[in-house]
Amino acid sequence: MAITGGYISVNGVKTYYETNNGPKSEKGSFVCLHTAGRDTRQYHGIMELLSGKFEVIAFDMPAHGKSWPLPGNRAIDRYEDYSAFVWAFIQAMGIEKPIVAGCSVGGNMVYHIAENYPVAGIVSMQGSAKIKAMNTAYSTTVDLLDNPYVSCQHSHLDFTESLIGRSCPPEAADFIMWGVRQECGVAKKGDLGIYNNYDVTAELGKITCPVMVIRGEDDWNVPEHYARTAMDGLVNAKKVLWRPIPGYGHFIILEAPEIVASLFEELAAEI
Amino acid sequence: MTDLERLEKFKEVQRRVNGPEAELFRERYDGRFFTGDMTFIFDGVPYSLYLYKGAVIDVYMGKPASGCYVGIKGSSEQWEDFFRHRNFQLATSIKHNPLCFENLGSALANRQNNTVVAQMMRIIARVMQDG
Repeated sequence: MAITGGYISVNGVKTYYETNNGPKSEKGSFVCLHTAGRDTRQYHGIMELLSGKFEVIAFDMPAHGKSWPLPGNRAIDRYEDYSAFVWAFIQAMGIEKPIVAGCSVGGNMVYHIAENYPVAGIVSMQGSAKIKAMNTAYSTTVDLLDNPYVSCQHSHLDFTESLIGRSCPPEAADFIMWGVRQECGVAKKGDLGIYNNYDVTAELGKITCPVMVIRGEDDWNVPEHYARTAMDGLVNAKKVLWRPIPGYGHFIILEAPEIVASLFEELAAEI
Repeated sequence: MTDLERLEKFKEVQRRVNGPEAELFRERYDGRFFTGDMTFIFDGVPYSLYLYKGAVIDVYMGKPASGCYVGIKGSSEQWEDFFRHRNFQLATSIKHNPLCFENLGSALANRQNNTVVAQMMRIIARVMQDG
């Protein structure tokens, strides 16, 4: 069955989601978190590949894609609020065994979610448990995403292009670059503020579910030691599966959906 | 490479930007919006390009009389590192590169022109290293 979309109210925010209408598995359903500033479409390839095997649901965070913003036209800008919203979405959707997968800021967020909410498993892609880059000169770059004299879309083109892996198919690269063209400065600033002011290492020991850590190795902006910040602290996880993927980059969900879908299946087998 | 030999390389950069690289530079990397100076400093020696809507009008040694609008300053070691990986974002990353280049001009101007400066830097790398 094809991907279908709909709206659901989450904490009063009209939230857009998409599902592959796949079968509900005893292993659980995948709930997917997009990268900073983007939307559910990043998961279409994976949703289609798994449509006969698992229910896969993706949704647009507030102020992203087709979801409404928070009151006052704001985006979420604290990671505690991000996690709470994801869990509220899962509850509103009635998902009983969520396996939460995220890429980039979503790849960071899955750790905080698993520390605080009863998920069945997590997949962190291009993520870390600790990035502390705000309150440095880097903060200026984030602030300028929502400056009236800077085009968020144009000023981030080269950055996004630099993150794409060598083996990414051209049509996927085109769509990744189209994603930059559609970004909203408010949403992007909120996400990058979270991504770069993040440290959940102290409570990684609370995570007991199976964890898969995926890293497209061509992603210079998420070096391997970022992933290690999490893996070193996952001492109580049922299993930690480390899967570096050569040739692909930051947007691995779009660059290599076949590989990621097969890894999702591998993680589900551990649940 | 002497300072004057490097100036000749910048003149080749001008030819490339106005010739075989023009469409990519102006259309994909937004050079068509850029009018003003770009300055690149190698070990204290500045080279400046003046562009009008993405075409290089002038090349000279020295800083613009009006001050640096945008550009990059680095040592030979930093430039050699950039020529090796040619990743402008890594070369200017405060997060990841302890030897990152210094941006010239205001933070606002650099952010506005991030993409076009990055493409200019890649063309410079090709001219300097690949001939």
